[in-house]
Amino acid sequence: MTIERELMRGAGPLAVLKLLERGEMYGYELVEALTRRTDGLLAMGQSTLYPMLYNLEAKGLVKSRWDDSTARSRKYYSLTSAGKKRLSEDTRQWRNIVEAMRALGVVTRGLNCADEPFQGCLS
Amino acid sequence: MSADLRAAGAPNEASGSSGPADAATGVSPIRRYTLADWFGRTSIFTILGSHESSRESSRERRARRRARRRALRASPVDALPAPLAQLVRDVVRGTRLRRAERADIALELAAHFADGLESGESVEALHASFGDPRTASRLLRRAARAKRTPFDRAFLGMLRWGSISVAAVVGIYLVSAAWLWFRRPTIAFNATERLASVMPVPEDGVGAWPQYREAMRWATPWRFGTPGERGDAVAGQHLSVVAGDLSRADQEVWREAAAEIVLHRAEIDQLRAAAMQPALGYPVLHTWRQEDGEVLKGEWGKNNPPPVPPPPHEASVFSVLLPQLGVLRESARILGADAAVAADRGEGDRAVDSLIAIFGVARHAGEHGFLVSKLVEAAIRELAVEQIVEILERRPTAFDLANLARLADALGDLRPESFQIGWSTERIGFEDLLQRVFTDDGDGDGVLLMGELAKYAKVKRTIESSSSGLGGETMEQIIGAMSAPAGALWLEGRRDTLARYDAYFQEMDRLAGLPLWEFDYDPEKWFDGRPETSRRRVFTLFAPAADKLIATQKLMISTMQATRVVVALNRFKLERGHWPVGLDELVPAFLRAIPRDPYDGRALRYELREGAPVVWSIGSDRLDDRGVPGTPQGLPDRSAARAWRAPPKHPFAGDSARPAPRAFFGDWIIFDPARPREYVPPSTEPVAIFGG
Repeated sequence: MTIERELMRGAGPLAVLKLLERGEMYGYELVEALTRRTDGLLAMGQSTLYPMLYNLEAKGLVKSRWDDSTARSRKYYSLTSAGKKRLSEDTRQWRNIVEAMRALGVVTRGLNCADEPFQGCLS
Repeated sequence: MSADLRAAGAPNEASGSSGPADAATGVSPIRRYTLADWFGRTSIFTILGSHESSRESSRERRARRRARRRALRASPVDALPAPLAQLVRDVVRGTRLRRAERADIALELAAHFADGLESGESVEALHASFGDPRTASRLLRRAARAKRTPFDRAFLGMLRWGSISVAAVVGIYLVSAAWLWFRRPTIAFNATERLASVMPVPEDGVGAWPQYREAMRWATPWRFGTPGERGDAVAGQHLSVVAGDLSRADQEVWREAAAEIVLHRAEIDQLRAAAMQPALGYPVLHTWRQEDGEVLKGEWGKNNPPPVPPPPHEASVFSVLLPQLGVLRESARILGADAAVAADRGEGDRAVDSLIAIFGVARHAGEHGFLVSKLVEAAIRELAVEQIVEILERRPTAFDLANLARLADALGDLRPESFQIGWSTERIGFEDLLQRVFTDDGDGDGVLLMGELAKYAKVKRTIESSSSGLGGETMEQIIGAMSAPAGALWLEGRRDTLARYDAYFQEMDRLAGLPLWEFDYDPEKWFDGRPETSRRRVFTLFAPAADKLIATQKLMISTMQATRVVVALNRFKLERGHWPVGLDELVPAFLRAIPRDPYDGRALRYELREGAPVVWSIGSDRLDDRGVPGTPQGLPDRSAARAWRAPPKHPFAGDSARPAPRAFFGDWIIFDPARPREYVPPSTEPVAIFGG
């Protein structure tokens, strides 16, 4: 199952911000985590992920750093304070949306998924 | 770099190098990337930026750059399988970002693929999961540019729109240049025919020119010969010297010239007859005639064949060469010399006839009404009055009362038409130039054609200074074509140029109504090089210096009036046996009124010094030196201070911007028979000099 582009446009950045909430990650890690933790629902290719990361960086929501300490240089992304604030706001909005959808019968399961919003929250 | 890429010659985007050439030359692509990277990352925009990533310390940045250099040495893109490496390069190249930005993206994508491969994904799966490379390039480009600082983005925006604007302006300019290249002026009227229509027509249809031509035929070897041919060129030069200023001729020269004059009295009589004709009748666009050949040979150029006049419709005002002016000037000199010789021989009647004839020659010279014609006319008149004064100073008994009365009448002939300035002639010439350098849009306006302007400006320079102009014709055409739109935009158009010309001559008319001492003309107002006046290029290039002509003519009138005073003094002396104590004694029996000094408007200065009279004007320095002349060459020059000069801005200190020559100082000595002179005339037996 794939998500409509418009829905993905709103969900993708929030998903990335949420993944970065726990700590810094590099690009492949993010792709892998998104695929794994959403059962492939929010899987995105590099052509989508990296522009999204750059946009988030441009907005000051994430910051990046190159780690050259290993044989392979990797660029790590992490949340900024603005990013944390945005994540908090967007999460609240998404919850409200899901509440509304539940009230309409679009969402049928409970919302005990504050820690894992992408697993089992949506039917 | 992979073997595939080396073979394909693809540029190494990841390293920012330019591909196989680097391999061939052995220059490390890493070093070049580093330089570009350094510039990209330390630009002013990054420094001024507000990104958190740019807030790291310079130490951290240096460390990061070192580490990345190490990473790049490993060439992570090259290390990928060929399809993935090619994909990275295609995507990165498609972003069209800055080198440093491309390098960052390449490195990150390479790391991503390397991680994928390490996780066990296949090349094909990674390639397929990447997405559309073109879309990726576009999105990456957009996102990477969004990361730039606002200042950077604004600068780039300005650069882009600035470039577009410049390109548009250049494009429009080139299109305009091409459009103007194919525009041609419209020759709406024949200038020479129009000029001919305003010229005086001799009553007999012929005029005085054929007589001049015949009378001057004998003098041709004098005028244009060389010592090797007849040896008479020297005599010709002597004649000019003698006619111009007798005081500077030595006795030997005078003897030679006087002998020639006496020998050719018949021809000089013919010259006098020609001078008394009412009109010259020389056509404006003179068709070459064989019979004119000998006389005009030197005017056209001794060794050149006579020019073939262009057809009338092609004849611009520049094709009117006025070769007759040279002949007339020589005629006046010969008449002046004849008057001097006659005076020495005690032939007062003949001397006066020749002197009066000079005024006739002057009238003929000015007949066409061109500014240059009028200037030559004034110069010839000046020659006559100087000769009159010279004879009266040197040989006061040469003239009887009747002779002096005739001279007084001739000097009093100040009819306006004698000094009328032919603006209409000049305007026809100017209009002709306008129709040749502007287009004609039908309502009196038009666009300037720079190529045509350069052509006529070159002709003008060639006429004025025999210069060769800008260079080759091709270069002139290119310069003309490229500067055409700028010229059309900046320089005044046809209608404005003609309006300025008319305004200028209105100003000249106002000046013509002022006495010389109230002349307040400022040439800089019309002809200086200020930016606002640089728009008047066509006007300043072709408008005549009419102010100089007005000043010259006014000074000429003053000179003739002053010479009347000299004649009146001599009549007084001849009748009463002594010089008057003051000029007022001349009025009214010998003079209607005492003329004014042209330089301050007061009465001409006069003194009796040890019984001898001195008449002077204060001269162009406007300071009365009590009759002491200027010394431009270190020697006294009686008329050096006569020449008109605008009043200095600081009369007592001189004009610091343009220091006045020494001639500027001193007085203009009008009459001083007692002044010392180098030339001592052969006064004892003048007839014997010429061999009887």
